[in-house]
Amino acid sequence: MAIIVNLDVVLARRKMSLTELSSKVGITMTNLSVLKTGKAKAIRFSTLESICQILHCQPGEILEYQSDNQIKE
Amino acid sequence: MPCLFNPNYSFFIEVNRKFKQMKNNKKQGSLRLIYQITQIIFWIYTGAALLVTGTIAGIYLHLFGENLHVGISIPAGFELIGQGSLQLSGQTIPVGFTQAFGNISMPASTSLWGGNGLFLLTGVWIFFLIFKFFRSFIRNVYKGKIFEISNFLLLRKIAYGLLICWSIILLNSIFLYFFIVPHLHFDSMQLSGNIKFHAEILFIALFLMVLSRIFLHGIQLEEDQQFTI
Repeated sequence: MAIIVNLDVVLARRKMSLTELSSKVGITMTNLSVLKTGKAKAIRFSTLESICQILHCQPGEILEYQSDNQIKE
Repeated sequence: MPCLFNPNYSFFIEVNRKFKQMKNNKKQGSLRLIYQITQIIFWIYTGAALLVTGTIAGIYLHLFGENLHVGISIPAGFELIGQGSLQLSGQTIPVGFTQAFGNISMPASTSLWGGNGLFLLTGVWIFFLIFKFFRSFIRNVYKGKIFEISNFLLLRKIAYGLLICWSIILLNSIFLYFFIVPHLHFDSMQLSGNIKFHAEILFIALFLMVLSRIFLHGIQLEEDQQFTI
């Protein structure tokens, strides 16, 4: 998939665990894992807003576009 | 004191919950009824199919004795030419007898009966498979497994089964029209053949094929929904 989720990178920068984010945002660990591993097919604006609010970041820091060639490299 | 018109008041939440539960129970009740009826009919049909298979096997293996007289009864439709009259309100209206459906009954030799028996067995067991797939489909729906790949496959199998049945019935009708009916002679009536198209079976099969595609689309939508965070 051409959209890369950098949630783990942002979490590492903020020194926050996935469990902590899960409890603060109110999303289950399963759903956050799906998002982190890049298995998610879509993300709601409300979810993105909550994550950005807790992590004090912009959506662009969490989501990144990479072309298929870039992914192969 | 909580206001009765406040939607957050627990009384309204409780009523809403009960109402939803009632709706759910009603749905479950009707589904349970369909599921149980399907189960009963399936087992009755299975018993009948085994009985027919056993009887045919018995005839093949001469278990009912050597002097058993077997016959064939082939369902067929006929166009009849017959004139009559209808007495209605003091008037005599001429009427014509045009079409009839019935069975051609004849004593059969063992080889002829054998072919007919195989034809009958094929039909019985194809219908058994269709019934089995339908039962599995109903069971999945009853258990709440609706948009699943197994349901798509089951619906497609039922549709293909019905298409096979339709083809067999059509071939049988063509066979009767060209090979049996022209050689039939009755003293009391004049016969002419009629190829039955059985469009209703074809329509149901095609409808189920479309429905299976809708299910496939539903499965994809549910997957998208499941992986939407």
